[in-house]
This record gives sequence, C-alpha cells and structure tokens, in this order.
Amino acid sequence: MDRPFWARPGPRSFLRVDFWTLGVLIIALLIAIPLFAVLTLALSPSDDIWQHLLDTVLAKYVWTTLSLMLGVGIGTTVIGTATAWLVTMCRFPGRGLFNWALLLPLAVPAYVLAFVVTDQLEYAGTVQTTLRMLFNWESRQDYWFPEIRSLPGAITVMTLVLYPYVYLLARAAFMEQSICVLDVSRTLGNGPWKSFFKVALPLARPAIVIGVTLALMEALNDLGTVEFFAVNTFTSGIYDVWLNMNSRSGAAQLASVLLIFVLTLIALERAARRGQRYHHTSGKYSALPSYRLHGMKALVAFLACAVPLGFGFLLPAGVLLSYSLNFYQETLAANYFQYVANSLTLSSIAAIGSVLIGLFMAYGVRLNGSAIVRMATRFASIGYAVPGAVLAIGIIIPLGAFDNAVDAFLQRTLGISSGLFISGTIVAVIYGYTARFLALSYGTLEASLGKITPSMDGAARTLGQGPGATLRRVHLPLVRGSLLTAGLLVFVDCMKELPLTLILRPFNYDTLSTFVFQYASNEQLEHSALGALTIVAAGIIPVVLLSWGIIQSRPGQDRNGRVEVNK
Amino acid sequence: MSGLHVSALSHAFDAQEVVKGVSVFVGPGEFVCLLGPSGCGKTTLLRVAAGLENLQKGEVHIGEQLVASGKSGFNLPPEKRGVGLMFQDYALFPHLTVAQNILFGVKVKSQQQSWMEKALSQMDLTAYAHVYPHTLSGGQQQRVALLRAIAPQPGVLFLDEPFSGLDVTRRAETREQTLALLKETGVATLMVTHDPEEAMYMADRILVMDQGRMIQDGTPDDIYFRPNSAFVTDLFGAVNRLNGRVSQGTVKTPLGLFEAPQLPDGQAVQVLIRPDGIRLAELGGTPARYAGDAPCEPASQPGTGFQVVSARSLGRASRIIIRLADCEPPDGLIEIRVPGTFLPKTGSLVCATVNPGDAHIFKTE
Repeated sequence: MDRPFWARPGPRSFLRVDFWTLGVLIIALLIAIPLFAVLTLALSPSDDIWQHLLDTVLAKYVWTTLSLMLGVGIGTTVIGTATAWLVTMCRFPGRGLFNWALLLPLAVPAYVLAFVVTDQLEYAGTVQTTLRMLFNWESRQDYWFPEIRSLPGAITVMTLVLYPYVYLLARAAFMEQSICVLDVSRTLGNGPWKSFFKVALPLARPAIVIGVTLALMEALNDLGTVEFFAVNTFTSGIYDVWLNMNSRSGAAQLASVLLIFVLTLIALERAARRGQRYHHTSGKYSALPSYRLHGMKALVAFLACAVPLGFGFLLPAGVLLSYSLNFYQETLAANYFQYVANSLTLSSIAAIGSVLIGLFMAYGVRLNGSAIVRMATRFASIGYAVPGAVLAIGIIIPLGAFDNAVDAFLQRTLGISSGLFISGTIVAVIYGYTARFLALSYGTLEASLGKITPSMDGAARTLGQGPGATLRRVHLPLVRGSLLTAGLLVFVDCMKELPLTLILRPFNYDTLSTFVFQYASNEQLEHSALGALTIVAAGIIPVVLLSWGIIQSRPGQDRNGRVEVNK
Repeated sequence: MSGLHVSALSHAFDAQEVVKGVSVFVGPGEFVCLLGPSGCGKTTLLRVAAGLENLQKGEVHIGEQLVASGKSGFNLPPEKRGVGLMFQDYALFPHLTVAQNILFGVKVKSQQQSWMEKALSQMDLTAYAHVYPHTLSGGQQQRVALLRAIAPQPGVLFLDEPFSGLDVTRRAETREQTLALLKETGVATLMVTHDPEEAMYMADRILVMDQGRMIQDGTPDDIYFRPNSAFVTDLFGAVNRLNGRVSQGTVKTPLGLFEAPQLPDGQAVQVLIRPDGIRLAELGGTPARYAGDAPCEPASQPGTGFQVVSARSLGRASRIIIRLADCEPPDGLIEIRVPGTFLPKTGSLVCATVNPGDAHIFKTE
C-alpha cells in the first residue's frame, strides 16, 4: 500500500526510505527553484504588463505557438511513423541505409537548418538565382516564390529536424513487437495495411506519443529559428520582452503562460498513455517479416525516406561542408578551437551529471514508489519541457541572489568580496543544462530499468543483497548500454543548446552554438560554417550508436541481425 | 533448521483487503502448500513473509526471530531475513552464468563450490555451469532458480508457482527432482500453487485459501477425503451436487440416504459426491465391492434403475453419465467414474450406490 513516508509506522521504515527519498526530493527541489523563481517574478506586481500584453501580443503568441505545435506535431507523427514502419517491415532499395540514416537530422539543430535553408532559398540564394537564369526572369516582380521566413517555413524546418524523435521511438516499438502478434492479425484476415492500423500502430502508440511530445517540447524551446524567421511564438516573445523591453518580470510573466502550455502538454501525454502500458504477451520472436516492395511501391517508399533525410540532413551538411572547405580559415581565425573545448567541457560534465542523477532517481522510484517520490520525480522531469530561455531567467535570479548573500556575508565577517562566484560562471550553465536535460537521461534509464522484471529485485534482495548492492550487481550491468545512450543523448543536446547558453554563459565565453548563432544571424553563415558542421558531426556519433544499439536490442537477433535458433 | 510462523496477517492494496487474518505455520523441514485460486491472496502472503511487501497487520517470525510486526511497524528488509524465494518467472540474472547465478547470494563462494558441483550434477546441469540462462530450456532454468534460492542455506524457502511455466510432460519429472532435493536439504518450504494435484503430490500439509481467508489446514489426505467445505471439495474437479433437507439426522437424495447427525432438522444442505465416489451395477446385478466400502444397498428401488445417458472408456477407467428421474442437478445428470471397463448401453438401466464416506454434506449458504 502506498503511504507517504511520514505516515508509515515506526522508526525503522522511516530510516529505510530516508536516503533515496531524501535524495529524490533534493533533486526535485533544485529543479524546482528556477521554476518557482519565474512564477514568483511573474506574480510580483512591480511593473504590471499583464494588461498591456493582453491588449497587444498575447493572442498572437498563443495563436502562433499553437499553430506551430499543431504543424510540427502532425508533421513529425506522419514522417516519423511512416518511415519507421517502412524500414522495419518492408524491403526496398536503400532500406539498410535509411534504417540508420533517417536518424541523422537529429544531429542538425533547427537554427542551423533555418540558416542554411534561408541562405539557399532567399532572393540571392542558389535556388532563386538558378530559376531566374533558367527562365530569364529579371526581378522579384516576374515570379512568385514562397517566403521561407514565415510560420509555415518554421514548421517545415522544425519537422525536418525533429521527426527522428518519433522515428526512433516508433521504430523501437515496432521492432519490439512480437511477430506472432502480427502473424495472428494476418491469419485473422487483415492485410498488411489493416494489420498496421489495427495491431502495430495501437501497440506502438505509447512510444509514438512520447516521441511527439519530445518533438513538441523541442519546438517550444526553439529560439534560433523563430528569432531568425521573426515568427512570434512565446519563446521569441519572452526573449524580445526581456532584451528589448528590458523587462524581467514581463518575460517571466510570458514564461509563466508558456509553462502552463507545457504542463498541459505533459498532462495530455500522461493522459494518452494512461493504461496504455502494453506488455508483450508472447515471448516468441522471429525475424521481422519483410513485405518486399517492387516498382512504384518501392519508389514511393524510397522517396518517403529520401526526402526527409535529404532536406533534414544532406542539404544542410552539404552546404556547410562546402562553405567550410572554402572558409575554414576565417573560422579558425575566430578562435574555433577554444569554442570546441568550451562546448566539450560543458556538455560532458552535464552529461555525466545527468546520468548519475537520472539513475539515482529512476532507482529511487523503483525502490519506493510512494506518491511523494513519484510526484518529486515527475516534477524533476519537467525541466525538459521548460524552454531554455525560461529556465535561464529562473536560474539567473536565484543564483544572483545567492551570490549577493554570500558576498554580503563575507564582506560583513571577513571584509572581503567574493563577487559573483556562481552566476556568470560555467557552473550556472551546467546547472541549466542538467536541469533541462535530466528528463532525457532519467527517461532513458527509467525505461531501461522498467524492462527488468521486479522479480529480479526480489531475487537479489532475498539472496541477501541490500538496495545498493542490488543496483550495483544486477541493475547496473543490465542497463549499461542505456547509461551510455542516456549520456550521449544529453551530451548532444548540450552541444546544440542555444538559448540557455546565450543567457547563462560567462562574459566573453562562447561555445560553438553561440558562435554559430551570432555569426549566422549577421548573415555570415559561411564564416561560421565549420562551427555548425562540428555541432552536426558531434551529433552524428550518438546517432550511429543509437542506431547500432536498437538493432541489437531486439530479442531473438544476434549482433548481425541474424535470428537465433531456439534451443 | 528454522521455520516460518505467520500470525494473523492482514494485507490491503489501497482499500482492497486481499489477505484477511491468515496464520501459517511451517515447521523445520516441513513442506507446506498454500493452495487456492488466483487472486486469493496467497502470493501476497508469500511476498509479505519474504519481506518484499511491508507488513501491515500481524506478525512474521522466522525461526525464533521476529522479522516483521504490524504493531511496532517493524519490517526487517528481505536481505536480512535469510529466506530463499523462487519466482514464477525464475528471475535468473541474464548477465550472469548459471554458476554465477547460483552463487549470487553466497557470501563465501569457495565454501559452497563443492555443494554446487554436486547439486548441478544431481540436477543434470553440470554441462551448463558456464552458459548464460537464456540458452537453457524452461525446466533447466527452473532448476537453476531453485539451486540459486537454496544455495545460501536459507531458513525458509518460498516457491511461487514453481512449475506453472513448464509443460505438462516436464512437470512430473521436475517435481520429482525438486522434491528430492528439498527433502535432502531439509529446508522449511512454503509453496504457492493453484494446482491441487501439484499440492497433493508435493506437500506434507496443505493450506487452502479463498478470498483472503484460510479455509482448511490439513494433510493431503484430509483435504481430499475430509474437505470441510464445498469450496475445498470443488478444488479437485467437477463434483456431483444434490440438494436436500435434513430430516431426523438424515438427508434423503435420489442416490440414497446420508447421515447428517450434526445438522438440525429442516436445514437445507447440499450433498457433494465426486465422480469416483459412486458405484454402478447393471440392474439386478451386484455392485462391485472394494476394500473399505461399506456394505452397499442399491439406492434405486428394485426395478427402478437409473437411465444411462452415455458411457465412454477412458482407458483405465470408464466415465458414465446417468439421469436422475425427477431430479436436482440442473438437468438431473450425474457423472460417474469407475475403474476398469464398464460400458452399459445408452438407455439401459443401472443401479448406483454411494459409499457414505464419499458423500460430503454441507449447509447450503
């Protein structure tokens, strides 16, 4: 029975839950501080711009943000699910390549694709120049061309780089499905299409919902694209109000509305998943079936995979590569290696920290599923949903206050000044990264631990191992692969992270992402192309590892994807 | 040598009470089965006794030691209780070899090394000591799980449906090996099962549970031949059920008069008779007699036999269905199983006798 720890009888049980529960509560508190700081500031009456916001921009922000979410949601669901189904269940030319290559756009930050696409599609870009040459058009009056720097443009750009979230999870779900279930569906008279919609898709739905939710959180977080495209979402609104109107509480007020958006999204996702944890009823796995596609069908399947890959990865990577080859000296001269070192330092520390904390939380929940612990972890996971700009504001405020308090204390007692020793240092950035990406490592590890049946814990415990020894001897070896996955996921997201870094970084301290953003915003994409290419390249490594891991993870198949013979 | 003493244990999940004041005693070296349908609370009881669930009400002793008490809220964590538990799904650690699995809970591995080698050979597993569990068959995994549970020499061993994952042909053999090993080890064992035959085969004593309560505690013989309720009688398969009313200490049924001295006049009762508790003979013939049978009077009046509805040979036994004239089981059909071959023609008349010891009379609820 679930009773909060204070209601459990006796001193003994209190001591037992203490360590893990307390740890989880402290983590949740650290994540909560920035959020409460934002909310407190939003509710403080200093300069009340609520009425002003309501009169002017609020409706526009709400409408634009909702449109963006709807567009990106539909786009990523369709592309992610369709490509995942094609590569897991069908055989067509290029399938082996697409299987892992479809993850590649994950390596491209939305703002990088936005810069590249704009660079190519604007009036002076390659595409329009070529068209003018081909058709002898003189000027803009002679033809119509879609405006890429618009809301539909932003939706397209984000869909192209965010669909891999859905693809990754949907593919994993399809691969985990016991083929027997699909065979049963076929023998009951359902064709491949009907089997997909009636069996495979419903079984994969929980995974797809998670994927889409992740993609939407990324979309809400995005600052680079919407700033550059002048699309008025909440995030760009917060940034503008904060920088241009120089109103912290105004930004915090917008941020609090955005928080409500995000919390609604989380609630919807939870609701969609409630009671949807399917357990596979059959332990029998055999090689996945392959619907062999020919002719037109094969071509359509090929294009369905090639188009997202082409626009989401090949195009930006190609353009950046060609710019890099021509302009690498400019990039190197701009202190490139220092930015690389900075990015690597921040990202690795944050990745290791997130994995350790995430593991602690996931195991804490497993040990003690009491309401308070579950609530605390749920709370600690919403950092991922909180847009970086919001989180940054929420971190600057309390850290500044803390630094000032320490400084005042030292002044009073020792007569020395400590200055700002946390805010404005990389500690603040790492705090921000960890708070934001903890959910990523926690989610990965929770899912991985969830695959270990509870009787494993029971077996280890009855065999004389305490909770710590059980974690070390049973769980850690079993989730080793997931620890790496979790770490790499956090690492790459930190490399790409922009808004948090922009706001929290120490003075004159640039990472690859801030360097690229500043140069490309000033129409100097060429000169920062090597930096952008480096971010993309770093992103490819975990993509490859993820892809490798997922093929291995399917029961019944060995390393080379061959089917194990039942003994 | 220790043992297990669970007293007045109650347990609830949310508001649902799944175990209601159950006491269980397993003496040193004893093999006790907790028998009941799924959802009767037997697995919960086992998990609480092992320490995997916190105890809410009652007390658990292992040997002389109090390990959990509802009054003081004391719950010794499972790793400190010195128990072994074998899970229904075996829960073998997939990243460890068979030998590593077995020695997982052993503190000084060298001490148990020779025991393990002997046990492995006894279980026909010597060749598999260094392979990983997923390459083993279900029966082999089961035996590894058993060895793992007893390797640390626990004071009490819990078995949670240990044979349910095996196919029928493997079960008998595995039961045999398991029983032999446990008798040799002499560990007090509490096994949970929903299979009455398994319980009969394995147990020194059977505890029947239903809906969180203890129904009967007795030897396999008691449970089968002296069930204390319709529920326990029903456990071993379909039963013929006749309704009646007590009159002057007896119950009159179409299959004869049965004594019910403890019950008051006018009490509505049901008479439960297993298919193998009825003897048959061709009308006019003498029913076959068996050792221990009471002298039998044909229940049917001379010239008024029961009509045979069907008769089939099951090999060593025959299954006959007869129809009672104006009678009570919904359609008046009675199932009978007699040893050997006895195949009266459909429609012919037979007479039937019930050994009084095979008629179980209970108050109608």
